[in-house]
Amino acid sequence: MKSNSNMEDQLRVLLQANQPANRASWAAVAKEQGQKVLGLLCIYVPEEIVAAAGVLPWRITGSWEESTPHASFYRPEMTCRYCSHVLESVLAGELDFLDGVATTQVDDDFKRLWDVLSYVGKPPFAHIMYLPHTVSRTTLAMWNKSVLDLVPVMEDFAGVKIGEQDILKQIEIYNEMRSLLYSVYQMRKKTNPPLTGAEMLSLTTAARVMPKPEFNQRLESLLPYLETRQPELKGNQSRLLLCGEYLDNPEYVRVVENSGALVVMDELDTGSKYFMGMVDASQGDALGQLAERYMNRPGLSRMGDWRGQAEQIISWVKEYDVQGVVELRQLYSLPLDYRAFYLGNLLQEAGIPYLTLNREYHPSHMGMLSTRVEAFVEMIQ
Amino acid sequence: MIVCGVDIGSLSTKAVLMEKGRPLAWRIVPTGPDSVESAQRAVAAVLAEAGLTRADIGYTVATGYGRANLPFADKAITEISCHAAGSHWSFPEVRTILDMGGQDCKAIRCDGNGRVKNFLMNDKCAAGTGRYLERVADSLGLALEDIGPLSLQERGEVLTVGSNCVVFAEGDIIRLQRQGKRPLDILAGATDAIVERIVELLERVGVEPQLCISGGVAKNLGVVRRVEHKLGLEAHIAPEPQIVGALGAALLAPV
Repeated sequence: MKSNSNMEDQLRVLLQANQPANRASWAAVAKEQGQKVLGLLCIYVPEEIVAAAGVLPWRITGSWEESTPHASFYRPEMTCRYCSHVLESVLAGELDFLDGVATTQVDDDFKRLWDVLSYVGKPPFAHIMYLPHTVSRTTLAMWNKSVLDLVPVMEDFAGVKIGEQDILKQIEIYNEMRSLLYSVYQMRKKTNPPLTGAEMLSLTTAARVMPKPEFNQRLESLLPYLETRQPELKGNQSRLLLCGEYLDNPEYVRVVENSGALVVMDELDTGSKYFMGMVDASQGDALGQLAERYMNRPGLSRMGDWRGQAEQIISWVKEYDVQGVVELRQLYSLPLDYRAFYLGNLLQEAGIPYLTLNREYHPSHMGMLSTRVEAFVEMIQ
Repeated sequence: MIVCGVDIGSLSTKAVLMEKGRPLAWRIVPTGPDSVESAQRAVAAVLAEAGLTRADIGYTVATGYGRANLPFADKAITEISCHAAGSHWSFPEVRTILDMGGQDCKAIRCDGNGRVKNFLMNDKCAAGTGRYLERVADSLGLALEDIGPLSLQERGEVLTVGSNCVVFAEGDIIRLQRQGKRPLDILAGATDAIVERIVELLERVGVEPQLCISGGVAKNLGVVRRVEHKLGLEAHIAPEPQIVGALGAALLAPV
């Protein structure tokens, strides 16, 4: 095995991949090689189809700066902050390398963001997919159509034909990424996990900006090292599960962990919800199986299956030996606000301590957050 | 061992010395721009009061918004846990604590051992805090220490003052003054407004008897009586409600 410091260097590449200075670098390489880059906003656009067209799927992280002067021209302040910060990056010219953007209509905020992007023509191509709000046989059929429709859209966008084999190959690559990340999540069950919660978020967001074969190869070579890696624990640390959506800045996780806790599991669309759920295409019907996976894995709060989501959290609490659930709700992200009441009641019934707090998208009001999280940790310790 | 609790609040810094669970001395000083300097001043003052020196202190616990940066503190504990501990020590039967400070307001539920069970905090906005009362007193040309009893005097007209924002409340007060309304009626309306916000916070966390009110605003009788009336509960108030957090900090020091 290579030396630890070499392994740490390798790990750092992944952990720093979604930092502002680095996140566009893989996209730049793809562009140099004549590949198109498609910006993604949510976890529902089946990336396998995008990649099968020879396009690099690249999750858009919004600007982490406080002010959004360009975006404020189009969007009121009291709307999804992630969407506003994404629009700010687009309008400020930070994402001019993107050839297009694709999303589902996660909620009205995403639709309005798509409206503005289409209106200003930046990036030059914008596609929105219909995503049902519930999971049933009927809605799955509707969703299947959305997924099938994406194939010719991507073919036109990239100027290629997508064959069944191309999809199957990508399913294999994506399943490999999922199973590698799942292995790392298994290690979070240890008393002393190899990665902090902030590092884990850095890793899962890295997967969204790197070409998957490279990400897989890098992560696979690090797995044996991660098995042995033991960051120093600061005293008696409470084990927390972190909930939230559009949380892509590890600074927020660091604030939680600086309060004497360790985030050992998450219910983030930027974390577990991104990669959990495999595609089983062994029996054929690759696109149908792909569509089913994107609907059946743990969903966003906009999916409305709040009881199922709460039960998922409760089962993770047991599985990961979690002592409390902390939720960092992005301001003006309404589905999560509504779910918080429901989730609070179900977690209380299950005897699980729960703290739900509002936050901005960019790092802000860290002192106020840390006082509340610290008090919560003192309460459960 | 002599232990010290320091509560660095937004407007005042409190220091308490304790020995064997018994308070020796306490002091309150205004918080200046430098929170560490303010804490040093408070500790120096309380040591002078007790006739002791820094070397006599065996352990220091810091709390309040400046808790993390205090170089001479052995430990930092949030004001939530400290207020619960301090209130429980003062009144063992207390299960609900309302702490109204200069720039924040906390509703805390605790168990029979003074451990926090649940809490809610408003520190995002000055409405519902001591700062609000300061602005009200200023706008009406009254002294801060007088507005509590004055707000309880017999009312003429019932007036409504906004409770959502201090700036808007001041606007309301100026409007009512222009309309020639009685200052005492305006004061009563403004005090109703702050209480409405506080009671909402308490009800969200759930009120279980007995109730204790701490923090500087506990010295405002108008606020206290209104909270008691709305909840139908009598509130315990420590002889010096401003030092409850610092007292809790000292109590949470390992003995």
